[in-house]
Amino acid sequence: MLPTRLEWLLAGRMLRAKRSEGGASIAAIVSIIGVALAVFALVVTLAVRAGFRAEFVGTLLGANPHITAAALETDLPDGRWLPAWADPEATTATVAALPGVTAAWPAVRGAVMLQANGQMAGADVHGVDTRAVTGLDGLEAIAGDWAAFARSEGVALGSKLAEHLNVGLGDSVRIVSPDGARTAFGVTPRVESRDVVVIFTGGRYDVDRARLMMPYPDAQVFFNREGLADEIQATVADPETVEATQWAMLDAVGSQGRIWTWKDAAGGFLRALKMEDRVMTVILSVLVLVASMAIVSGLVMLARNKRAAVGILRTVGVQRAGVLRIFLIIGLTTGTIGALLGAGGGVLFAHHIDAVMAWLDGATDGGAWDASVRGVYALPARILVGDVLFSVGLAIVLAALASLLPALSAARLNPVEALRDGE
Amino acid sequence: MANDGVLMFEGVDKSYPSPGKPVAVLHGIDLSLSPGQIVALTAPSGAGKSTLLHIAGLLDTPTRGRVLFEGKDTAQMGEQARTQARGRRIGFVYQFHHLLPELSARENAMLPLWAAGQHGAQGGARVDALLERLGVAHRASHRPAALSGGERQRVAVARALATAPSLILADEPTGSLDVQSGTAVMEALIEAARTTGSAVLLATHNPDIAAMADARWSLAAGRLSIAT
Repeated sequence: MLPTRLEWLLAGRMLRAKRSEGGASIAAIVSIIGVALAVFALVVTLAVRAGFRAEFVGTLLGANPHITAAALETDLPDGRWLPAWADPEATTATVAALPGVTAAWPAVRGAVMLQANGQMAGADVHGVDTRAVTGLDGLEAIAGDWAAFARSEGVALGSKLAEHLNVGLGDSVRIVSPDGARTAFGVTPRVESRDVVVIFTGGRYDVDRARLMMPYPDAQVFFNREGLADEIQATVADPETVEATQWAMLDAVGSQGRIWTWKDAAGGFLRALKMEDRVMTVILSVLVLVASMAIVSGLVMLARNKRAAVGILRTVGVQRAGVLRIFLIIGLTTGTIGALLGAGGGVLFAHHIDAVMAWLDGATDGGAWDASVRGVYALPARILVGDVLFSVGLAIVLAALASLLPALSAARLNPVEALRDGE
Repeated sequence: MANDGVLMFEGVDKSYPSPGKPVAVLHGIDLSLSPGQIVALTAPSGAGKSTLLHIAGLLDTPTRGRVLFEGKDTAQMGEQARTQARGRRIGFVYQFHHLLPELSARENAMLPLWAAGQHGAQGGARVDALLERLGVAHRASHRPAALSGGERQRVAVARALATAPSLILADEPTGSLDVQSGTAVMEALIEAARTTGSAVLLATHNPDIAAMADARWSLAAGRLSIAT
């Protein structure tokens, strides 16, 4: 049964009543603060968790192919036995025609040592053409432009790699590959210099620190892959459902290739992130539960102070259920106000987390966020309506459960004893 | 005994469990209270006066015997029906006013009506008239903390009369007041009860107040004797 007007009135007045009137105002304020802080923490944590995942996945997808078909070792027309696609353009066209695929391109992959200005660094080489640069929308040229890269025989360096080697646009880097020219004495290391024509960022520290991009034809020559490609890379319209494309691609390329997706590459991390999400949600839910305990103590105190009032209410015709509802309304109102305040504060905080982190970073002399450890450059937050509703709903449900016991206790009071105690 | 009274007790016993042997409080009480009758109940402390009033007010049940309220056997009434009857047909005035501190004087007097779901203007007008008759209308918007002892008790009387009950149970209603205030409150209660036609069972130690009643009953060692 829904509460009556009298029950709403009494609950409201008791909630606001001063301590001298035996009311619950101080206890209610403490309960509201407790619930609000717990919900605030839950909302902010869920927002940061969602933001971190979105940022991680977004930058991962923006700088890397969503799905890759790598060639298995095969007999090549020139007699070599290599893991390479013998007819990369035809295979690329097959992949590009698959449903859901938005772009596809052949790629030559390799690992090299870079040397410049007395500095050395290892680099992961992606030999790609303009199809990759336009397909991977997360790659942003911060110096130079991609059109020049496509026309040149230069290289594009990740920003952190360029920073490490202390090179800028137009500077030369020496590239050392162990897989060089074949001679009568065997394969000799290849050492060549290239100009830096683009410095880019992929939005991720690991990409910026280790990636070198080389025009596809140049990479074919550099890595002894003339007319060949190591991989066919592609992007899809909906990366979250990339598995559907995975099976279609396997059918399309036949037994010559092996397929892996961005989920395979980052699967361990994503699973760990999901596990961490669940654990954090449980821990913070316990925090909300603990905060709800303040409602219990507040209501127990109120029920004790209001014994005579309960006695009078019972004598003037208020049923046990009515007394129960009065105390439930008080507990639920406390929980709901706390939950809404906490959710509001949490949303506000998450919305301005950049400013908060910037301040924190300044206050800790740049120690608040280390991109080399976190992978992404900023602590992102993404406010999901579902997360906010979950937090508020959880707090309200726990407040209702917490209120039930003291409310039942008040409703069961014997009016005669209650009045006697109140005299 | 005819069952046309507001309240009838037939051979009512009441005892409370206690380690060893139950403590008997009331023994074979027979009484009948007619509509509009005002009866003073006098008793020394511990004689069972409050217990009798609690049973009469459907707040407690007898160990043995029958209690009829408005002709109905209260043993046949469930908890909800008893609470409803208590709210609508019985008014209580205690030694202590027991007003709710969060509500104004008028709101306190309105409580039984609101508990019965009566939020209309008619009930409000009735309570306003009662407050006027009891001389506290000018204090209607004040909280109990701002009222004098006599004023609080008058508001409690207004609350007891708000639903025009058939029975008013008053347990030492002037016990916490000085003589002048107590007499004034009792005069107001009796006058208001006569207007509404309510029967009044009034427990008091004060012979002057008992003298205002139509009849005097005395309770001693759990037994009731009627002395008109």
